[in-house]
Amino acid sequence: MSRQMKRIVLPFTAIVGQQRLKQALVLNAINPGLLGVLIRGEKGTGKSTAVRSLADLLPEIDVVRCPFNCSPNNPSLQCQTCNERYMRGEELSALRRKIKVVELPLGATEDRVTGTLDIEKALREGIKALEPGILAEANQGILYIDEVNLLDDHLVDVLLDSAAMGINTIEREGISVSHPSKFILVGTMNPEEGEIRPQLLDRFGLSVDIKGMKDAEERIEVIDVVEEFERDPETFSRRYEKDQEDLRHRILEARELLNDVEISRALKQTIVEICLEFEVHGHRADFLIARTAKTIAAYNQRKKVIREDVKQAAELVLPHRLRRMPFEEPKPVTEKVEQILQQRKEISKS
Amino acid sequence: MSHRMKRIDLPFTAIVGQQRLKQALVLNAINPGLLGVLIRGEKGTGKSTAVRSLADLLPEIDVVRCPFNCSPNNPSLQCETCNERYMRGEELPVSKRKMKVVELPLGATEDRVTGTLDIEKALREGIKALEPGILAEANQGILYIDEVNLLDDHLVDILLDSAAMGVNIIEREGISVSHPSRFILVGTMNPEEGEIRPQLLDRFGLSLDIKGMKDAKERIEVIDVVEEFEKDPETFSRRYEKDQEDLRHRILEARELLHDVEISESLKKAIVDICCKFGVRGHRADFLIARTAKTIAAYEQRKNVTAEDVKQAAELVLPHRLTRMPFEEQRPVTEKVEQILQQGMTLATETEKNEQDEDEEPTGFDDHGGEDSNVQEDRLKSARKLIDFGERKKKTEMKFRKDKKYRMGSGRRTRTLTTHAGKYVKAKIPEGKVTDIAIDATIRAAVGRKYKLSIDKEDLREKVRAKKIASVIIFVVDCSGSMGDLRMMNTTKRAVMSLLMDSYQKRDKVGFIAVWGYRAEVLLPPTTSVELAVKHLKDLPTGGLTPLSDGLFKGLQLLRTELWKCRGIIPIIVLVSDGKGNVPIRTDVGKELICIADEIKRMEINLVVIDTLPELHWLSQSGYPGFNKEIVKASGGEYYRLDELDSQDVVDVVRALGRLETIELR
Repeated sequence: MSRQMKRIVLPFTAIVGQQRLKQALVLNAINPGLLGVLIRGEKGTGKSTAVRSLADLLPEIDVVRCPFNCSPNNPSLQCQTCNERYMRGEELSALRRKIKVVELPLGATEDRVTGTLDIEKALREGIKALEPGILAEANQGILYIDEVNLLDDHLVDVLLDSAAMGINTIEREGISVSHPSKFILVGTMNPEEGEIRPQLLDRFGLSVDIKGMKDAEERIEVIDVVEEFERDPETFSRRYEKDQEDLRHRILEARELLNDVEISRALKQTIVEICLEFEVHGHRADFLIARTAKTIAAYNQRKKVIREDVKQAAELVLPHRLRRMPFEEPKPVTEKVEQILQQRKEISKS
Repeated sequence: MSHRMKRIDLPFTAIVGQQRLKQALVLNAINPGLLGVLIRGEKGTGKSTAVRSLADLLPEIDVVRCPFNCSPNNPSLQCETCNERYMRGEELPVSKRKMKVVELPLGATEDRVTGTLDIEKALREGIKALEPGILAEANQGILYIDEVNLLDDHLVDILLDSAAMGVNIIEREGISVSHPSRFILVGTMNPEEGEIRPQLLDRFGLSLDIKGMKDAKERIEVIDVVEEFEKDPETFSRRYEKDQEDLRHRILEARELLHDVEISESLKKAIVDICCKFGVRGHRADFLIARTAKTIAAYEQRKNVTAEDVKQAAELVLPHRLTRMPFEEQRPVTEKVEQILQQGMTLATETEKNEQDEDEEPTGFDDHGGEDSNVQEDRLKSARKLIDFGERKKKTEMKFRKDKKYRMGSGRRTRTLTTHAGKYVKAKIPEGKVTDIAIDATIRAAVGRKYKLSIDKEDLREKVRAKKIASVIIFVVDCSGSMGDLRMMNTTKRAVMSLLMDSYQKRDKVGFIAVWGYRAEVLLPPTTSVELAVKHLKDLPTGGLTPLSDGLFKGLQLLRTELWKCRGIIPIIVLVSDGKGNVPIRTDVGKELICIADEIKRMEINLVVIDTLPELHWLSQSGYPGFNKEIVKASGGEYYRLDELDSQDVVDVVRALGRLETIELR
């Protein structure tokens, strides 16, 4: 029931500029514990292109032929049925494929998102079965939500809840089920079109503010790339194969290394100071910065986190967590963070 | 059909800091008679984590092997079947298991909450049986609701009924069943995102406010704990197994001891005195403080209650029961309580406030219900009276003015609700043509009647969707130098607060844009939260120029977003100004204002212009100096003059615009 059209996607490594965005996406691919990326920007800045390119870049995965896209060998990513069979020692037939980007349509209703009563089954066999929804489809993939600030609040709630827990729990229309739902979450919004609930904002791990590029040279490069790609996608892509392979490799290695990365107490202290200085709500920012910094270190094939990692991490974690009035100019994160880092350097020296 | 995935929660004893939060939860585990806890706090403070972690610490209880989790020896906690057998002297099949934390998920529909017809049984065995819902699961346990202030009204009603009576009554699809449903209610919420209904608030025994911690060391510890736990949950949990076991043990011992804990007469009097001095209504607070104090003593392995216990108890019981006026910070409970305790036992005692005989049974769910469940409502009423609304003009006068409005077009606008927006909450028998079929309910209706799957017209059910926001009201208020009028500011502020205080009933959102300086400023994005309004509107800016068109434009933009989110809302702009805009967005204020007003009309947004220019002032000049008249003409809005209105009138005007009969979105 699922036709995969062979479509060549612009190679991730061919995307012009947008360094922060690419970094945020790659970091999430290495460590989904970074809780996704919120991309804030105007229309037409290559947001969805980047996400699709990412999916294409990432290594292929093994997926059970199951509506919940279970993993054949990781019990925490298995629905009850698959898990029972796995525990019994059965071999779960799987296929290998690229990860999927599941896009949430703007008019999505809750039943399509969480899954709902399978009407056909109910009418024909009189049994209550779940018709899997988008959260089942997105398991082990990327969930892309365009214009997340225009989505119904309770839908965003459900999505973010599942993203955080890695599980989707359904209690509706006579059904009571839960199934694994682990995905990389990417949301976009245009800040001029309205705010998103602060509670929901906080649940996105990282955020990136992007604008159309101002640099004339970069803009020309974009035109060039698009033209060349459209003219002959296959040849164009082949040119970037080595770069893609390198990046893929780097991501895989980073994933391996991640658990061994250490962050010093002094740097943790710095992170805490940063968060207190910026008066963030709650504690999420603290451990997210630590986690992101570790991921950055892993990506750079280091086992130790350095100051620069913390700085970059703060720049990704803080922007959407700053306490400010709407329409106020955003506080310059970079400068302030650098300041604090500098101060701590002095202190540790003395 | 029920599959559950295992989830490893952070061990309770591993949670860093948040002592009060942990205390409140542990106390409830010891003594369910404390009636639960409401945890209010900003995001990311570990509220949900703590509640979920609590499950592991809960003591074991005796439960009949019955879908309703009946009690084997307390008849009031037995379903009909169990009760009959109990009365006959039969021994009920009992098992010992941990008290459960049952979570009410965000998307829950009514049938899952109350329980409903078991279709499979009906089809296969031809009998009408109940498929138990969440209220059955939660019986004798804890019902946990995350973001309880956002819970749909329908579900709130169901919960309130069960919580009050301790029974869940189901009358649907041809079944008529009732079963015991006594649970401890634990809720979390972020107060910046809206208020909780007073009746629901009242249901919570204890409450507390938590914030992120300021101490750097504690914050670092949080990072450490989260990191280590995420890396390897199982190993991490094992490290805390001893601490968890110790705490579990302590809870059990405290439960045993609770019977024997005594509280002195003088402390009882102090409690009564405290409640009196804080102006708390009814008796619930009194006995809750006493009960809580006893539970604290039991936890500390003492048989007598100390003043410190009472203090801590008061800090947990009182905060959500105080008369709070808008613009007033939460009164520091601690200091006052300490004061009273130190002064020793004093007056107190009107005959009304005599001591209650508290029930010390740790498993007793006895509820002194029926009193003052509208405590909060009364409190707000008196709060309103205390606020000076200024002199009320005679209604007739205002009517007269209304007729003299400068406007075109119809005054009241209704919106056609054509989309299937809103959360599906429950089903109903349709009136007229059905456009939004509820398949599950339809099937149940068919099966319930005929025991087979054939659907007739009578079986059709349609979806009732959650009521969304009724109105979104944006105040665009001229704060510029020429309009530093104190009375205008106060009237407007009061109107905003007044609208918000009703907001949990009507689900209105209110926003506030200040017109001053070079660009208008959105001081308050549309919200239902009184707290947020107080915070942001406390000190209004004054001075500068009048970027009136920017203000009106920003108002339009805010409403546009809200309309995208929910097409069923009633959008309203209340413009309070003398119309003398002098800073354009681009070049020409007047043109811009008319342009925006046209757009307002096109989008069918309601506009109310409240002119702050005293009539006398402009009659003497040659013509009207501001743009208000043009705005009204272009937008088809309503026009009033400030010197004829007080804040209550403003509220009435807005309400008149918003008056639609009960909306049930299709």
